[in-house]
Amino acid sequence: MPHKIGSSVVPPLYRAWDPDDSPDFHAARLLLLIYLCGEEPGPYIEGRTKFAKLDFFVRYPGFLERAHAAMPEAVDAETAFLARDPSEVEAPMIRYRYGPWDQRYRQFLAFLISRDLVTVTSHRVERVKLKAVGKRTAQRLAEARQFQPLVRRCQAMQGNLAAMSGTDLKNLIYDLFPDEVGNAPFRQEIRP
Amino acid sequence: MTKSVTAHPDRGIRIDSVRLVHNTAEIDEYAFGTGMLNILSGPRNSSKTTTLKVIDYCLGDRGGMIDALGAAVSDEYIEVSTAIRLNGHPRILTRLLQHGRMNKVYVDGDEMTDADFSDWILRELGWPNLRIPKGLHPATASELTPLSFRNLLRHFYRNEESWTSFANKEQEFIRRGVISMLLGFAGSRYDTKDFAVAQAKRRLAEAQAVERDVQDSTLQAVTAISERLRIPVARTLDQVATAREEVTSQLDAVRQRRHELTQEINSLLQGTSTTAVAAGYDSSLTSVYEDISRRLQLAVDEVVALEQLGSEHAYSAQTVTSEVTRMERLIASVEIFDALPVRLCPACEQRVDPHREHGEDACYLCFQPVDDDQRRRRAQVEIRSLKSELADLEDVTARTAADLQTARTRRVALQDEQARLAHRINEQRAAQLAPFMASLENLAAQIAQLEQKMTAFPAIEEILQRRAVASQAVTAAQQAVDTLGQEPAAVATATLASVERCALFAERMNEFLHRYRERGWVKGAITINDSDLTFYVGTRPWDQALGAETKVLFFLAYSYATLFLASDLDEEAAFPGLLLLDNPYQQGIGTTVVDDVLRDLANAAQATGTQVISTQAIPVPRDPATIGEIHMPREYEAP
Repeated sequence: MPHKIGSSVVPPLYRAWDPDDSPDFHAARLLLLIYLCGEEPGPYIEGRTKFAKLDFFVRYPGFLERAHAAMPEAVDAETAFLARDPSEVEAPMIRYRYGPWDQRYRQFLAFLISRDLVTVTSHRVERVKLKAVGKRTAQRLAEARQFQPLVRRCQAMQGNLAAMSGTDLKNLIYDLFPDEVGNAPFRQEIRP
Repeated sequence: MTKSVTAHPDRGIRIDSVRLVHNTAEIDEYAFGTGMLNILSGPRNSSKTTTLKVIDYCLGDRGGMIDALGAAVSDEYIEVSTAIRLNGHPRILTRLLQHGRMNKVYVDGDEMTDADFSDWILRELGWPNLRIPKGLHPATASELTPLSFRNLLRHFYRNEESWTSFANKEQEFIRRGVISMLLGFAGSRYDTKDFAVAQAKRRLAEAQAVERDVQDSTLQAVTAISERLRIPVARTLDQVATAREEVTSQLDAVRQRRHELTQEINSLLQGTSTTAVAAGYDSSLTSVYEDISRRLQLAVDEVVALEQLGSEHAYSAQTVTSEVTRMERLIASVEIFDALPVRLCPACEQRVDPHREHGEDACYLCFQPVDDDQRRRRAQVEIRSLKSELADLEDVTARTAADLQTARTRRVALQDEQARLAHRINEQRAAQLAPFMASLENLAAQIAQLEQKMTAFPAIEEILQRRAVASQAVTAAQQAVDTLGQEPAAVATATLASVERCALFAERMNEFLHRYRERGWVKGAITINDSDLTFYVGTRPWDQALGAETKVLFFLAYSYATLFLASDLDEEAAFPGLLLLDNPYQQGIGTTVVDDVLRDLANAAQATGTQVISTQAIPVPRDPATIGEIHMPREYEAP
């Protein structure tokens, strides 16, 4: 059965189409993030703060490179991430209450939940965990050529940023990027 | 004793009363009589000694409150005061036992530091305020030290620690100072001329040593500098000035020659020289060089601009490539999720069958109208557009790279041309300047050498100045010695010579001791050497001749004799008129002996109009005319 969607989802030809407007684009990245940076058994990511902060480093490779440079005790110089273009932005975020944020996270999670790819459970804090279908889908994404830049960023965070708590990640971001994030006004788009 | 005794009730110090204010505002007050012996009696720990300590504390003790009065008294009282008369003038001395005020003495309510108190009371009593050499011999003493009221007080306040010495832990030069003051010849004894002369001679010796050192070192230094720079060795500042003038004139002459030569070269290079132009010189080379330099600068600017343009093109291409990959990721995402239809309603959280019955052009979940998914085709359109932009960018980047290569080649060619021209110009100029070079180099060397010589003169002047200063210091020190040597020695104005004063004092002691010859005292008579103020018993110094018990008698005699200072001597004597004795029953001396001594002291006090205050725990000798007893009302717990 061919897939059908609403006619307004795709903009008219005279207007440029930004991938940022598509939930599929974000859902694929988040699925990959949970798959590669989540904790076992699951994998899962605990806490929406941590979820958003790790996504921040995937979206902004320039900030990921600077964070690794600032934590030599946790990341060897040989394995530290180097951005091909530090000004590149996968999809912009805004500065909100606890740092980088995207107001559409609930929509993205609903996208994944409705397709039976993840579950969101409430333990002490919210936990987003891959289901069996989600794991298989994430594996396909990880093998796809188009997603290799994101795979490299996620792999670079394994054992260092991905091992930190949401609060520690928030403090790290405030300390390292005071002008871009910490001291920026609420709702301002973050730029590298 | 043949000399008559006269009473001097208005000379020296008298204690009228002592007042202690308790924490509870209760007051203890003890009044004392003059011309008599006042005995503070009572059992142990009834504040007898404390009362004497309070008098001592009010008379300017600098020790802390606890050291002076003991911890128990410090805790018990908040204020102590003593009513005294100084040469007949009544004064109230008060001390407050509160932190922050303990180093102050209040005289009739006026605050005074304990340091100032000594000067004040010496002035009130008319006693000299002397500074004496800090050592036994004025000629070897290194400094002067004040002879304070406290030093004197220790000779007429005999506490439990000072019954076998003049004063506890007293330095010998202080002892001599105090006794000469009591006997009235301290003024002439401590005419400090000897000290001043010795001091001046020490300074002269130091100045001479410095001068010798400076002479040797300056001569060596000046000789070394002069020989190294090949200038005449100067011994005086005038010789330095002469040498400097000579070198300055040489330097001026060499600089003038160099100036003339430089002008000649400049006129030659500018083509205004009257001399012939050097063969082969092409004056148009400079303008050609300037033209090449201008063109080279343009080429450099062009290379920089093209490099910047190329870099901007590369950055744009990178951005477009990123956009292409993002769009490719979007297509891949759409394809992957296309096979994963919604199976859970986000609204009601119930499972939904994607094959449920619904209209062909309606969403199976919300039944809104839907069309075929065109996103992949739409994304392909975007990618094609981006790749077209990328192709344009590659084209323009290639053209920019070609232009850059051409510009770089042009820049290299112009650089080579400029270098070649510069080489030619340099060769031409070198050919022109060659005749002058040897002279210029020679002149530069001469100037450098002469300037080096010039820099040496201030240093030499400074060295010689040090020698002059050292000589001046020697001259000044010698003048000080000469001036002091010419000053006349102080003329003794006193009516009695020091030897007579010592004899009278010793005679008064002997008069006292004579009565105890069979009761503990030895046979020898007291004599005093007026030079070093050593007290002899027979032929031996007192401390070698006497045992512990006889030492107590010795100091009772010493104390006794001080009561007669005003009567036996003159106005020059520092007459205390007061004796404070803390428990004279010391060193096993017989009780009856002490009782008799106290009666003698009481009689002496009556005869001389003086005052004796003593403490004792045993029954008091009874003689109401000359002895008053003050019974201490309270007995305190032992600490």
